[in-house]
Amino acid sequence: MNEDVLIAYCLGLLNEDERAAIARDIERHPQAAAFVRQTLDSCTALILDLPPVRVPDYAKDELVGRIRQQLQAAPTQSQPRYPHSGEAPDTPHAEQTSAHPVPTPIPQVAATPDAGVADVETTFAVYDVTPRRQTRHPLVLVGQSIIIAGLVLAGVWWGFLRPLRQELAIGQLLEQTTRQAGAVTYPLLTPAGATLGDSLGVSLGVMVRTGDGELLFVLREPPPDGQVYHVWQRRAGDTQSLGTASARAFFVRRQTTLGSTLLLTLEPADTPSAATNPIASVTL
Amino acid sequence: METNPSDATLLARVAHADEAALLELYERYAPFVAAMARRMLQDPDDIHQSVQSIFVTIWQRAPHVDTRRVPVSTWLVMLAQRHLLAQVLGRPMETFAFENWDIPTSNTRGNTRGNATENAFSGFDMADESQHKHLKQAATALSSEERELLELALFQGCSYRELAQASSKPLRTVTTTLRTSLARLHGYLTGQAGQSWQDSDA
Repeated sequence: MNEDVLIAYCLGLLNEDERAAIARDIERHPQAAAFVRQTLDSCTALILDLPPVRVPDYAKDELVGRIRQQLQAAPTQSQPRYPHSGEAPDTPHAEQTSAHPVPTPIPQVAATPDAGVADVETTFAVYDVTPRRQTRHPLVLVGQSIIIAGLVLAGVWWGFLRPLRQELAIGQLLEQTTRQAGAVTYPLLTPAGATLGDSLGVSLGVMVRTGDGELLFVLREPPPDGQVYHVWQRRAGDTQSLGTASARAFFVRRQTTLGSTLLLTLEPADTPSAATNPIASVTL
Repeated sequence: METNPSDATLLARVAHADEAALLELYERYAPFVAAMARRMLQDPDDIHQSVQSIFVTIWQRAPHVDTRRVPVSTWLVMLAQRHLLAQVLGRPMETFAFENWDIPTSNTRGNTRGNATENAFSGFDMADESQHKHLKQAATALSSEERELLELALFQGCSYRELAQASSKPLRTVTTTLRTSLARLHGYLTGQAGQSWQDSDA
């Protein structure tokens, strides 16, 4: 078999008909299969020799959110094709068109504030999306109390479970928001001009503007103790506060204007400030 | 739990819907997938979304992969290349079922990690740091001109004819250059530098 054609196949240079023909030949000719494998290994070496680009931490949350969304959309259960690592398949060419097993669904994040948060932050219209307790029926509260008591007894577990649940929920929320009609995702840019594109690791996070003009911020880190994130909108020389948040992920329930610039500052929780030293800015 | 599981172990766990295993593979490979995406795409958001989509595809297809037949690194990286190339060329992602092909001289591939026979290459495993050094050494086997040609084909989908035009060289020279440079690269990977494909297959 012509090696140049096999190389073209490995590089992805053939059209659909050519690929199908080569694939059939490869199944019939072990030497051709070996040649293709070796060529692909060499291509892999070349790609893995590229200088790696750091991927932002929030991307993991987003990935988990996308996967869980798929799991919920495809609730069929099946076993994987190869039950154990390194175990040979009984029928190597048999196809399987199944989804992964469905894990226990993760509770949805409340995208609206609970009473406590609203009292404090309604004036700013910035809401912490970290899951919190909500007002419930007394019997439900009793049940919750029992659960909470159990969690207190298992304090070590609580220390692991809550952050995990929050991270998964944030990823899910980000995924849902980015998929809304009219939603636009913006990398958070520092004023110096460093962008997500310059290095996938230097970004502070991501902001999604919904079709309604509301904003979802997902930052890599929560603000340090005693500090809050403060969101500002600047348009026509006028700078307006949109509110503060103490979590790394939060909604801004105010309509923003295309053409305006959004500024993000980090400041002491109890000291009002001006948008003089933004850590990130986005022009809509 | 294994502290530094092999790529094959992680992929087997992904096949069982283990999210932590997927995230571990993501940590190992996403920086290289992102590097490739940055070479192939312009828009930062496209780059980010592509990397995410590739790992969703990996999640979906993990149950179909037999790691005895193909190294995880080769399967994953080439799947990513196909995904990105489809975007660059504006075509559907091709079916690429090489995970089903066996390599005929290989009979000891029960574990893809570190059990290469003398003349066989078992693929990279990100769990084995020493392989990175080996990989870097192998990559030095290529001249800048050879590397440029290969990268144009891999990352931009340039046909042989387009490569000939881009390099101002005859078509035959281009195909020969690609063939010999890939052979040399594979020779370094297997510790048989300088041998041709025919030599290594014999």
